Amino acid sequence: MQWRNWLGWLTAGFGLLLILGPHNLFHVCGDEGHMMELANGNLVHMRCWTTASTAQGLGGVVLVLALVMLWSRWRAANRVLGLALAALGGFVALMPTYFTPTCAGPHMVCNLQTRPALIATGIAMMVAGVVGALLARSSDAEGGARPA
Amino acid sequence: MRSGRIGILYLAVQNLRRRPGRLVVSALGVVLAAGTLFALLLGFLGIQKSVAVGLDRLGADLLVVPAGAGGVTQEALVMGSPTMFYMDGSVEEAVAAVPGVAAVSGQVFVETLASSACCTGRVFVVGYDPTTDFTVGPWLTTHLKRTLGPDEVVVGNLLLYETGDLFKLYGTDFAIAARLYPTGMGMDETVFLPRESVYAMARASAERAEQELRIPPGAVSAVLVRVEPGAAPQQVAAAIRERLPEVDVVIRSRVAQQVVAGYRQAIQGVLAAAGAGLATALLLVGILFSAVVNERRRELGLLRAMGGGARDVVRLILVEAALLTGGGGLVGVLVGGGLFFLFQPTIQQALQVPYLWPSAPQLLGLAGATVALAALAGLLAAAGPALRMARREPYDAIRAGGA
Repeated sequence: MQWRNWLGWLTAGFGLLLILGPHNLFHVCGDEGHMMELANGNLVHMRCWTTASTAQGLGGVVLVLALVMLWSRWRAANRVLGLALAALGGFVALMPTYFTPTCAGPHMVCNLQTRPALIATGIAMMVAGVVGALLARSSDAEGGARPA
Repeated sequence: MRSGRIGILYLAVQNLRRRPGRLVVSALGVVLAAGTLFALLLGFLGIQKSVAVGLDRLGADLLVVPAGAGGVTQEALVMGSPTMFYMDGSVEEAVAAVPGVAAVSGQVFVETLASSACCTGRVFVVGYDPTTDFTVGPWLTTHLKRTLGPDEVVVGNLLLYETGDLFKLYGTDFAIAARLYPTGMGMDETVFLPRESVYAMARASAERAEQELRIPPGAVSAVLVRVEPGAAPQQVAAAIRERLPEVDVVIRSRVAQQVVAGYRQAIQGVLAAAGAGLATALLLVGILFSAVVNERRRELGLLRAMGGGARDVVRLILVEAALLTGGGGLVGVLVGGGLFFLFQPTIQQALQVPYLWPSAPQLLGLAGATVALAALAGLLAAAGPALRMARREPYDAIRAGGA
């Protein structure tokens, strides 16, 4: 295991944040168990429930990425996986607005908490991924070994 | 020192790049302090703008409401919190007769029933008198270029409806004639319609609505007052209270003061933390440059021995410090501004304050001032070590510099 791989640990942190965040830290709407009653009486999931589920799924992917970074002995791991983290960060940042948007009301909990938190997390992932990849590239260019 | 590529700026950048880890740690404090300061000031400017725009739109200097309703009226004005209370319509005439009052207009407030859908919630509805109104009326004249029909409403900018949509109030359908431009205040979440339509809706609600809307005949909730030019609103308010002890008077200028004072109180702790953070960051920068100067005594001594003057040494150290803290300030502005942009509705809701984004020149000015302040702070923190180094003789510096 690469104990000193800061990008691996940071990526693991992002993964856990995405998995645990939507229902514990930056909440989605919780009315009636994330359900909304239609005019015909049917109960359907609120839109932000899908946002939360997608974020959690992506969190799982990011966590797997972190484990690969921490366990891999591949020299180019941080460079390549850093870019993958940045790409996933872009997806996370755009997700609550474009891919699986939160609810419509600007004052709803999901728009006050989940949406800004996911955008901020996504941007932080992009910055960390790009910086990590660049540092790994310059380290590779100088012939530096992967930290043991 | 001024010829070719190797100028003071080039040397300063190369020196900073030598130890990126130390650079990041030293700049981190400046990033945090500058980011916090920038976000707090953004909040302050936005609230001031919103209050100015919102109260200007209100058009009234005073609001006369039933005794005890002043607080909820202020909440309705600032945040659009729905509220409902009534007083006898004769108050309008009595207020109009008070010396110093130029114009009055009565309004009726209604709180809608809770929506079954998740996204609407309760909405604040205001019935205005089209013949005397100076809140929505002037806007309708210039933008809609007609008066509202009895089955039409105008909605605030934050309500999720489009022009032409139907809006159901206590069982009666109203067509949305227009959306007002944003004010950042309660008006953005308010529905405006003619007062007579509110009375008609109340009469029909017994049959059409889930819950009857009861408004005493001819009653009003508030009387908006515009004072005569030159008259002091405080004095007119006192005169109204003296004549009509059964009312409260909300003064427009005091609402603005209270909102800003409330924000100031809410951010006091954060502001103190930002100040402490900046002081700590400066202390760190001062210590860092003392260490840097000690480490590089030999190098700086050689610089002087090769013809560089004491002033060049001072400039080199000060430029390094200004780059470090100015750069930290710039990153702080980007991070603080970005987070404030993302969480602005959350902060607004938590602090119960109105908000409108400051203009682009104001934003740029504030960002520039924050970066300049951070750079200036760096200059001050590094001035001591720089001057100490400049006073040393080159030979002493080279000899004391060790390896």
